[in-house]
Amino acid sequence: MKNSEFRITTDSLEKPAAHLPIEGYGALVEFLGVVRGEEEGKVISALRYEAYGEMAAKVGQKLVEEVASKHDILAMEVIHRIGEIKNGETSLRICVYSKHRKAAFAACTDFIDRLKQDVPIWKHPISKSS
Amino acid sequence: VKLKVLFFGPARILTHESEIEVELSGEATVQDAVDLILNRYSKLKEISNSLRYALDEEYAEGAMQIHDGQTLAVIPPVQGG
Repeated sequence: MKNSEFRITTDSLEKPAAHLPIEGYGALVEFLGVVRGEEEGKVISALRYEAYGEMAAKVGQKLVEEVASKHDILAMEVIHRIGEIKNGETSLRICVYSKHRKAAFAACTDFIDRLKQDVPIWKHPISKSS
Repeated sequence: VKLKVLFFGPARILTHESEIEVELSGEATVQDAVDLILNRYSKLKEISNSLRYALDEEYAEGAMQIHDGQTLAVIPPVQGG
Protein backbone atom coordinates (compact mmCIF):
# COMPACT_ATOMS: atom_id res chain seq x y z
CA MET A 1 0.00 0.00 0.00
CA LYS A 2 1.48 3.36 -1.01
CA ASN A 3 -0.10 5.57 1.62
CA SER A 4 1.22 3.88 4.73
CA GLU A 5 4.03 5.29 6.79
CA PHE A 6 5.67 4.64 10.14
CA ARG A 7 8.32 6.96 11.45
CA ILE A 8 10.16 7.86 14.61
CA THR A 9 10.85 11.42 15.62
CA THR A 10 12.29 13.43 18.46
CA ASP A 11 10.04 16.34 17.50
CA SER A 12 6.96 17.34 19.46
CA LEU A 13 3.64 15.85 18.31
CA GLU A 14 1.56 18.54 19.99
CA LYS A 15 0.53 20.32 16.78
CA PRO A 16 -2.67 18.95 15.24
CA ALA A 17 -1.95 16.50 12.43
CA ALA A 18 -2.16 17.85 8.88
CA HIS A 19 -4.55 15.59 7.00
CA LEU A 20 -3.11 13.57 4.15
CA PRO A 21 -4.36 14.42 0.65
CA ILE A 22 -6.45 11.28 0.41
CA GLU A 23 -9.59 11.07 -1.70
CA GLY A 24 -12.62 8.95 -1.06
CA TYR A 25 -12.39 8.42 2.67
CA GLY A 26 -15.47 8.55 4.86
CA ALA A 27 -13.76 7.92 8.19
CA LEU A 28 -10.63 9.27 9.82
CA VAL A 29 -9.62 7.81 13.16
CA GLU A 30 -6.87 9.66 14.99
CA PHE A 31 -5.36 8.12 18.12
CA LEU A 32 -2.99 9.92 20.48
CA GLY A 33 -0.99 8.06 23.09
CA VAL A 34 -0.31 10.51 25.93
CA VAL A 35 2.09 10.34 28.90
CA ARG A 36 -0.28 10.14 31.85
CA GLY A 37 1.92 11.06 34.82
CA GLU A 38 1.80 7.66 36.46
CA GLU A 39 3.74 4.48 35.80
CA GLU A 40 3.18 1.25 37.71
CA GLY A 41 1.48 3.18 40.51
CA LYS A 42 4.23 5.77 40.87
CA VAL A 43 3.91 9.47 40.12
CA ILE A 44 6.27 10.55 37.34
CA SER A 45 7.06 13.80 35.58
CA ALA A 46 7.95 12.36 32.18
CA LEU A 47 8.87 9.25 30.23
CA ARG A 48 12.07 8.90 28.28
CA TYR A 49 11.58 6.68 25.24
CA GLU A 50 14.45 4.94 23.48
CA ALA A 51 14.32 2.95 20.25
CA TYR A 52 16.50 0.59 18.31
CA GLY A 53 16.00 3.13 15.57
CA GLU A 54 16.77 1.26 12.37
CA MET A 55 14.96 -1.90 13.43
CA ALA A 56 11.98 -0.01 14.89
CA ALA A 57 11.57 1.86 11.60
CA LYS A 58 11.68 -1.40 9.60
CA VAL A 59 9.38 -3.40 11.88
CA GLY A 60 6.97 -0.47 12.29
CA GLN A 61 6.74 0.13 8.54
CA LYS A 62 6.09 -3.55 7.89
CA LEU A 63 3.36 -3.58 10.53
CA VAL A 64 1.65 -0.49 9.13
CA GLU A 65 1.61 -2.04 5.67
CA GLU A 66 0.28 -5.37 6.95
CA VAL A 67 -2.45 -3.78 9.07
CA ALA A 68 -3.50 -1.35 6.32
CA SER A 69 -3.73 -4.18 3.82
CA LYS A 70 -5.61 -6.49 6.20
CA HIS A 71 -8.31 -3.89 6.97
CA ASP A 72 -8.54 -2.39 3.47
CA ILE A 73 -7.34 1.01 4.66
CA LEU A 74 -6.86 3.91 2.23
CA ALA A 75 -4.01 5.51 4.17
CA MET A 76 -2.33 5.16 7.53
CA GLU A 77 0.27 7.35 9.17
CA VAL A 78 2.00 6.48 12.45
CA ILE A 79 4.54 8.65 14.26
CA HIS A 80 6.23 7.56 17.49
CA ARG A 81 8.11 10.20 19.42
CA ILE A 82 11.24 9.26 21.39
CA GLY A 83 13.36 11.16 23.90
CA GLU A 84 11.97 12.80 27.00
CA ILE A 85 8.21 13.37 26.86
CA LYS A 86 6.53 15.24 29.69
CA ASN A 87 3.21 14.38 31.32
CA GLY A 88 0.32 15.34 29.09
CA GLU A 89 2.40 15.28 25.91
CA THR A 90 1.88 12.92 22.99
CA SER A 91 4.18 9.95 22.49
CA LEU A 92 2.29 8.27 19.64
CA ARG A 93 0.00 9.50 16.90
CA ILE A 94 -1.91 7.23 14.56
CA CYS A 95 -4.11 8.49 11.72
CA VAL A 96 -6.17 5.96 9.79
CA TYR A 97 -8.21 6.87 6.70
CA SER A 98 -10.79 4.43 5.41
CA LYS A 99 -14.10 4.32 3.59
CA HIS A 100 -15.98 3.23 6.70
CA ARG A 101 -15.43 3.69 10.44
CA LYS A 102 -15.30 0.05 11.52
CA ALA A 103 -12.22 -0.66 9.45
CA ALA A 104 -10.44 2.46 10.71
CA PHE A 105 -11.11 1.66 14.39
CA ALA A 106 -10.10 -1.98 13.90
CA ALA A 107 -6.87 -1.07 12.11
CA CYS A 108 -5.94 1.42 14.82
CA THR A 109 -6.48 -1.11 17.62
CA ASP A 110 -4.76 -3.89 15.69
CA PHE A 111 -1.73 -1.73 15.02
CA ILE A 112 -1.27 -0.63 18.64
CA ASP A 113 -1.54 -4.22 19.88
CA ARG A 114 1.18 -5.31 17.48
CA LEU A 115 3.37 -2.28 18.14
CA LYS A 116 3.35 -3.24 21.81
CA GLN A 117 4.54 -6.74 20.92
CA ASP A 118 7.16 -6.19 18.26
CA VAL A 119 8.45 -2.66 17.70
CA PRO A 120 11.71 -2.23 19.65
CA ILE A 121 10.94 0.86 21.71
CA TRP A 122 11.35 1.15 25.50
CA LYS A 123 10.31 3.71 28.09
CA HIS A 124 12.02 4.83 31.26
CA PRO A 125 10.03 6.69 33.92
CA ILE A 126 11.45 9.95 35.19
CA SER A 127 10.29 10.59 38.74
CA LYS A 128 9.19 13.96 40.09
CA SER A 129 12.28 14.21 42.28
CA SER A 130 14.91 13.38 39.65
CA VAL B 1 33.33 -15.02 14.14
CA LYS B 2 33.21 -11.43 15.40
CA LEU B 3 29.84 -10.09 16.40
CA LYS B 4 28.68 -6.64 17.47
CA VAL B 5 26.18 -6.87 20.34
CA LEU B 6 23.73 -4.08 21.21
CA PHE B 7 21.82 -3.77 24.50
CA PHE B 8 18.58 -1.85 24.87
CA GLY B 9 16.17 -0.83 27.63
CA PRO B 10 16.45 -2.92 30.81
CA ALA B 11 19.24 -5.01 29.21
CA ARG B 12 21.40 -1.90 28.85
CA ILE B 13 20.70 -0.92 32.45
CA LEU B 14 21.55 -4.38 33.81
CA THR B 15 24.77 -4.76 31.81
CA HIS B 16 25.87 -1.09 31.94
CA GLU B 17 26.75 -1.55 28.28
CA SER B 18 25.16 -0.29 25.10
CA GLU B 19 27.51 -1.92 22.61
CA ILE B 20 30.22 -4.58 22.85
CA GLU B 21 32.04 -6.92 20.52
CA VAL B 22 32.30 -10.66 21.10
CA GLU B 23 34.22 -13.35 19.31
CA LEU B 24 33.10 -16.94 18.88
CA SER B 25 35.14 -19.76 17.42
CA GLY B 26 34.09 -21.91 14.50
CA GLU B 27 30.53 -22.18 13.30
CA ALA B 28 28.35 -20.44 15.83
CA THR B 29 24.64 -19.85 16.30
CA VAL B 30 22.61 -17.09 17.91
CA GLN B 31 22.22 -19.37 20.94
CA ASP B 32 26.00 -19.73 21.26
CA ALA B 33 26.34 -15.96 21.33
CA VAL B 34 23.48 -15.67 23.84
CA ASP B 35 25.12 -18.21 26.15
CA LEU B 36 28.37 -16.27 26.01
CA ILE B 37 26.61 -12.98 26.75
CA LEU B 38 24.61 -14.42 29.66
CA ASN B 39 27.76 -15.91 31.16
CA ARG B 40 29.57 -12.61 30.91
CA TYR B 41 26.68 -10.52 32.28
CA SER B 42 25.10 -12.66 34.99
CA LYS B 43 22.62 -9.90 35.95
CA LEU B 44 21.05 -10.33 32.53
CA LYS B 45 19.94 -13.81 33.62
CA GLU B 46 17.29 -12.08 35.80
CA ILE B 47 15.34 -11.27 32.63
CA SER B 48 16.71 -13.91 30.26
CA ASN B 49 13.35 -15.72 29.97
CA SER B 50 11.76 -12.60 28.51
CA LEU B 51 14.57 -11.64 26.13
CA ARG B 52 14.35 -11.80 22.36
CA TYR B 53 17.23 -11.36 19.94
CA ALA B 54 17.61 -9.68 16.57
CA LEU B 55 20.27 -10.42 14.00
CA ASP B 56 20.94 -7.52 11.63
CA GLU B 57 17.66 -5.87 12.66
CA GLU B 58 15.43 -8.93 12.27
CA TYR B 59 14.11 -11.13 15.08
CA ALA B 60 16.22 -14.29 15.17
CA GLU B 61 15.80 -17.84 16.44
CA GLY B 62 18.51 -19.48 18.55
CA ALA B 63 19.42 -22.01 15.86
CA MET B 64 20.26 -19.35 13.27
CA GLN B 65 23.88 -19.34 12.22
CA ILE B 66 25.85 -16.14 12.71
CA HIS B 67 28.41 -14.71 10.36
CA ASP B 68 31.38 -12.46 10.82
CA GLY B 69 30.48 -8.77 11.09
CA GLN B 70 26.81 -9.23 11.95
CA THR B 71 25.02 -7.31 14.69
CA LEU B 72 23.08 -9.06 17.44
CA ALA B 73 20.65 -6.98 19.49
CA VAL B 74 19.40 -8.00 22.93
CA ILE B 75 15.72 -7.07 22.95
CA PRO B 76 13.85 -6.99 26.29
CA PRO B 77 10.01 -6.86 26.18
CA VAL B 78 9.14 -3.77 24.17
CA GLN B 79 7.17 -0.86 25.65
CA GLY B 80 6.17 1.48 22.85
CA GLY B 81 2.92 3.37 22.75
